[in-house]
Amino acid sequence: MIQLQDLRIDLGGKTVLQPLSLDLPRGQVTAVIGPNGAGKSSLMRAIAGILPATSGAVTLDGVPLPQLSPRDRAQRIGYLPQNAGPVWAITVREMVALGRLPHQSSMAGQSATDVRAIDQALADADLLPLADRRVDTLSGGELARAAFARVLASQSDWILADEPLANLDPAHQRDVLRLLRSAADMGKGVVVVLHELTAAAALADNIALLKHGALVKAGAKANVLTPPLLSAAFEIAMDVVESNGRVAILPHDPL
Amino acid sequence: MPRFALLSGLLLSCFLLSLVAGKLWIAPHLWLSDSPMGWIMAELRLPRALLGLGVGGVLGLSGAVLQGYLRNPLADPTVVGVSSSAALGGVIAILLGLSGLPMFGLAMLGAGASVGLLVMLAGRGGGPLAFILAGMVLATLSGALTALIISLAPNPFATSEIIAWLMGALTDRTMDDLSRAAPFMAAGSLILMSTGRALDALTLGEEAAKSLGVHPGRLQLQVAVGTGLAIGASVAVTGVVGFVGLIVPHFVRLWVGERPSATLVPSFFGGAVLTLVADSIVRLTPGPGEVRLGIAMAAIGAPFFLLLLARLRRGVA
Repeated sequence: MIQLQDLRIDLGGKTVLQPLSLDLPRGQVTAVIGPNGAGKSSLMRAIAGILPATSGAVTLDGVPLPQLSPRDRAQRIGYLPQNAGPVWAITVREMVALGRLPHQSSMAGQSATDVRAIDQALADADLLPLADRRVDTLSGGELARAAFARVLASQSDWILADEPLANLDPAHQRDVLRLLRSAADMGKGVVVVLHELTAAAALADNIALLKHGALVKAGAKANVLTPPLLSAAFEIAMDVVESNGRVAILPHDPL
Repeated sequence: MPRFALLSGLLLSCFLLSLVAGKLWIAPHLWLSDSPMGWIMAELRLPRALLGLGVGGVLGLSGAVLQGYLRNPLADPTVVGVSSSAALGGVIAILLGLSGLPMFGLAMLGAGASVGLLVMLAGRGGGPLAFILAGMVLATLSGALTALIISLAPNPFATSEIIAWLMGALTDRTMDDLSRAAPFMAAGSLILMSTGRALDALTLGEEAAKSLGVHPGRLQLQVAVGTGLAIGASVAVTGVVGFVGLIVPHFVRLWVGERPSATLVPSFFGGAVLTLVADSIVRLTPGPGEVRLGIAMAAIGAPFFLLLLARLRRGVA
């Protein structure tokens, strides 16, 4: 369990996240939604332990994150930032192998466990045929899958993904959503920032709705994905449409 | 490890070439002889070849580390101000009429001061962008101070000595120079080599690297101190030799791929090879003197870089 207790974050003298408390259970997907500038990415960085809390705390199984060594924390929490394409043209396998860094000592090479984890992550993300391709030759969808496989390879208990669907076509969006869902079904804790509200409705168990750096509401998705809450948060009238057990969230007014 | 064997073989050949080649070609059976040839070998050629190996190696290695750390293919030791600050120390020493150990000490002091300022200006835990900006400030400042000292030099001899030294050369270096510089170059190289994993993680950006357990402040310190020790010591004994740190990692990447940690050791070897070859060539220039290594390196380096550029552009097109 990751718990946020009165977590507040200031950046450059400005409060980007008002004190908020939130429980993130393992085995479930929590989607973080909200308009641009709501503080979603700051929240994710704080949960990943790379942005220190100004006040309050983020705890992992009861232990505040700053008390964990960076290596221990990195083994347990995998974080996929936005725009995670590498600057050097390494191969897909080399990129995925970076997920094993927290498990490796500084001089030793890859262990048999590392190689198995890398192969498994490549297979799960359907990347085995592309393993030896250079990342600068990949399409946007393939690169997004490689970035995701890097997080899978670390075999962390937690996966944090910041807008993993950005720039993906519907088929690849579905692929990434399925990977996130199956990670949660395998017992991992998944926290994901999404702008695609319909995707959030399909994927998430719980939703945290942010606006202007404050938590508007958090809870089971049916309680958060309501027209009044969404309309107020996004400042545009929203409809929640149900059809055959699926939910679509659409702006109310036509263009 | 065929790659490593190949590199070692290439380096050994170039090292031997550097011992043999010169205005006097010295055949191997004379190397240990009790003759002027044996003396030239022991007192001039051997320290020069060993220094060439070490200086070239640290230039190539630090270039690879800085390009990886700054995630910029144009980075090399000169852009972070360490070379020019060490050179400033050396120039002050020449102005004061010092040589040998005091001169080495002043150059190392210059390098050390630049590392301290670099880390202070870039900020604790500061990222690569702050680091490169701080480095450019230092390079500009120490370059200006060096120019000021040249303009204030008391006589034309001092001026020409300073300018000649700044151009970089391995000529007439002794075992004393080597023994002063070698421990610093070795320590700096070890620190630089230890950054490999963190540089790999930085490939994914600073945020992802932090989430993978990389400590940005420690990495910055490793890069700054490793560069300061290795490059400071190399500049202190040879002056500024450019281009090696810039071009060698590019050639290494064509061969071993672009993962930063994979480029470190080959860049050390490659830098040593390039420097030994260039230094052998400058000795063969006709006439009584020889071309300065720094000049020769730029002359050799520019066309090679042009070739690389043409190749890269073909790749992009």
